[in-house]
Amino acid sequence: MIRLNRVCKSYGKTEILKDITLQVEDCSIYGLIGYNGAGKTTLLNIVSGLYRPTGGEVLLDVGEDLRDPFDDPFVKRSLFYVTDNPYYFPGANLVTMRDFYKGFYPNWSDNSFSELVKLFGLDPGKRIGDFSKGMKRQAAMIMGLASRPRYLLLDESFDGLDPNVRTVVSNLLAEYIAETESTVVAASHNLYELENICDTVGMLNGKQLLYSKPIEDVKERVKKYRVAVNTEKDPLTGLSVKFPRREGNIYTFQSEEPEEKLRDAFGKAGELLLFEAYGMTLNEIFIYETKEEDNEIEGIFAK
Amino acid sequence: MRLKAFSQNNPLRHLILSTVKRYFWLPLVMLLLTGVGFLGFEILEIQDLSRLNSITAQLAFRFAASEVWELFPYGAFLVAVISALVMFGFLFQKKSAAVMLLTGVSRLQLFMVRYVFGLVSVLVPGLISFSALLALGGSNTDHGFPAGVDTAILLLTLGVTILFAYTVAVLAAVVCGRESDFFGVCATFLFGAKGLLLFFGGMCATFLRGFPYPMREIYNANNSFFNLFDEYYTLSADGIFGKVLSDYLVTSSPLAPKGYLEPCLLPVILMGVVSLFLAALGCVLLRVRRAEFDGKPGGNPVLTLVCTVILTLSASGLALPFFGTLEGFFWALGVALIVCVALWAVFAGSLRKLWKGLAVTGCTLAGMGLAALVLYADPLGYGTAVPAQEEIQWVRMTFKGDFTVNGDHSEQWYGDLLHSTIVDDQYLPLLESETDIRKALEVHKLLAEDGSHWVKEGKNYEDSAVYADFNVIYHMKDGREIKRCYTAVKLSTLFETLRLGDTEALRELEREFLMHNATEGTEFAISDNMLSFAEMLTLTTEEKKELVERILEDRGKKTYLQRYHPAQECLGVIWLNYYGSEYDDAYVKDPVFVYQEDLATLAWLEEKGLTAFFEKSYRIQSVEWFNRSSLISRDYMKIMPLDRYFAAPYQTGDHTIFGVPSTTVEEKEWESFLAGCRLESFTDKGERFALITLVNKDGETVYTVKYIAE
Repeated sequence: MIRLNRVCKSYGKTEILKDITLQVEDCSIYGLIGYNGAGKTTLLNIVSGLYRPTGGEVLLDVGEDLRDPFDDPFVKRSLFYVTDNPYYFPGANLVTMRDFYKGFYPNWSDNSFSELVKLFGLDPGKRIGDFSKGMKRQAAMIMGLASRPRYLLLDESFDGLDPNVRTVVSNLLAEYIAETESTVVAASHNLYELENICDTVGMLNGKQLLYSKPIEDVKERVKKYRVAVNTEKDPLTGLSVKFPRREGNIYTFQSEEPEEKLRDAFGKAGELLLFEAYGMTLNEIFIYETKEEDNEIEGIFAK
Repeated sequence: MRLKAFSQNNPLRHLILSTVKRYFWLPLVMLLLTGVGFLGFEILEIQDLSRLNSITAQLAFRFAASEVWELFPYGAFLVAVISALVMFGFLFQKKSAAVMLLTGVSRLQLFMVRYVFGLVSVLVPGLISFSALLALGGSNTDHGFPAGVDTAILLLTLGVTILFAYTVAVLAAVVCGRESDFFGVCATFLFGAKGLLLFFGGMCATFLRGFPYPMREIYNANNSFFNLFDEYYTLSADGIFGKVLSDYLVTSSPLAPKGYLEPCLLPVILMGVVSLFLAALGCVLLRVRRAEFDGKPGGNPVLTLVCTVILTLSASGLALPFFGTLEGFFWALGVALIVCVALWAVFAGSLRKLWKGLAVTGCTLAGMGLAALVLYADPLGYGTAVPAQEEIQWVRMTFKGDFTVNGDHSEQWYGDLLHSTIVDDQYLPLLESETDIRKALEVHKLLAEDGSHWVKEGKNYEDSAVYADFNVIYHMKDGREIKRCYTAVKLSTLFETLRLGDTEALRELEREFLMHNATEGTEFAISDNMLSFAEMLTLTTEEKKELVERILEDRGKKTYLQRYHPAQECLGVIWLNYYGSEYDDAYVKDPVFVYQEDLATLAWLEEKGLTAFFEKSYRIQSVEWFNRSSLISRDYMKIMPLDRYFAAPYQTGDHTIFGVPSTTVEEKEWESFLAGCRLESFTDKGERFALITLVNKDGETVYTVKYIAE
């Protein structure tokens, strides 16, 4: 279990995180989403013990008790952090890095390492410096999974991976949780993969955590609607909706309002011809949560 | 039973092994750097020396082997910085820092493993290379390998020097966010010690002597500011190593009796303790280091500011002595400006911020200029204040300068008994009588009111660039003490005006001193008027005392000018050779010049049948200037091994192997030249020396070599 209690972080006078309180349960995958610069990496750096928070506390359950991860060797051995820009020793290959990491992780599995290398089709004797960006990320993922940590932190780990590999990684993570009863925290703004594997989602918006909920709750909370109503009035008046559009009598919009309330409102406005509610993808929810209105891009390239 | 910490699956054990495996090349590279680096230096030296006439390859090689020793502290700093960069360079990149700081060990363990491995990597090769050089030096059969204890102390000092340099570099790595900051801080540290020293020395010299000022001698300045930094420098790795090396070379002199020197280990131990403290500080700083600043520029603006100011001061301070003129001062300002602006640009990581560097450097230089102006103007009259005679209980006047250095160099020692009595703390005269105090005050007034006279006046050769720092200490009747120091006072002017030899106190001291030295431990020698030969005299203690009595009898009749005027022709020289000087580490040769009117002395010598030497009466046939090798000129430390290896302080011919012929001295200048040879112009620091061809009335030709500053 990872517990953050009123965690704050500032760089000088610049406040990056403010009052972040959340809890990541064991044997789960926690998706941390937020736009660029929202503080996802900083939060992972704090959870990993790399950074010390300016305020609040971070605690990780490592078997005996809850411990502050900052410079705690015991926590470090229970945690693997796949950073957004993985580092490998100059001239190192996969075997070199394996030899380095395996001594620090008591649960390291050579078998998992070999299987993963085979799965990703990487050459273990080739210099990692000569790998492509995506292959470097795969290498980092191999190290992270083969070390079999109790906590696996992933920062933008799906970036640079081709669609097939993304699917493989998603499946691997699910399998990993199931096999090892570990906890994964994945930060990303690329949400397609997280959507299928996350148990819980935390959304950073600005400096603060907008919410931290099971993904079902998040998806249930907000929906997109397509409604056709025969009326001269504006049926959206008084309703909390986002990104409304009207084409003739057909309205499309997204809203957190209860479905019944919306149906009633449209029914009162006129003759309700069509009322359809759709579940939203995590990506759409992310946009819904973080944007107030559609970007006006028309005319940008006009002469 | 195995320790848990080193059990098979222990992360610390793994860290140690992986560090050794990963960086096994580092000690090898260090060995290559120290070994080949020094060898390279030796080759350059040998090449340089081989240009000289008559030097053999073997001699050149031996000399070069000893030459390289003094380079070692600087080499140690260089390899220490490289080693620190390799071991702690991971902190300069965010991603590498993340990997290393998240390994399954504490930051303390990480620091210790990397620190120790880096230290060993630089220490062991350094000691191996240095030991090899020592062995090379010791292979000289003329002298043999130095005593084991001395060598051990030297190696210990070297080890501590490396420890200190490496620890400082590691500390810099932990403090700095990126490579450029690290190099900036290291440069500031290495550059700053001497630079600050010279800067403050220069400021004090300006304060006391005016501006512009011959900067070459400010290194010998002696006043409160300077003393502070002198102490600081003495305790620096470079200072300690230089001192121990100097002791080592002197101790291993074939003339020094066994166990004569007592090595001073306190500074070495202190430096070791400071290094360990710095290491602990580095460890703490790494523990609290904020990883968010890893690899980021400008993490510490205060550090940047401090470094820039120190480097500004250092650059100008270092540059000044090299140029030594008003023009040079502006050169120095230019150098300071360029160095510091560049440093700021590197620190800031942006050329757009150059103006900040310009502003800081400009302000520092302006501050320096302002301070120099204030000191030069001396608005409070500090430099010219002379106390009233009735308030003074006693006065002590001392001077330190070139002759204290020359005192260690046998033949090149220019001075007289009078000088050595003043230099040596044991024989400092207290001027207590009313006449002596009045005399001291007159001299002080002259010095304070017309200081420029003392510096500018002078003739070719005989008034050559020999300066001293003149100290006046007043002990007042109310218990106060007033101290003043006047730097770079020209010795010839000082002696002629001061005439300390005419004071009652000094005459008595002189008597005591000569009598004190007329003992079994002092060897008497006699030489011709050109000091070209010396012959040891076999005298009993009684005979020595008799001779000294006669010398004192003759001296008592004369004034300072009569006895010490350099232009006055002397018949020959009696030498008093003994151990002991200001530093208690030299074989001192005090000359007593014997003139025609020294009747008592001459009668005694005649009685003993020793005047034949004086009758040789050599005259100059020709004087040729030789240029000395640039690598061995101006450097006291380089003369020491020279004497060691060639053991030829009297075999004048051997010295020509260190020079190439340059110009001929005109005959009309010989008299002035001769005077310079006899008195205060002897120095080992000139880039030139003169080969004098002498001939006596029998037509016998001999050669002598004199090192004379121009």
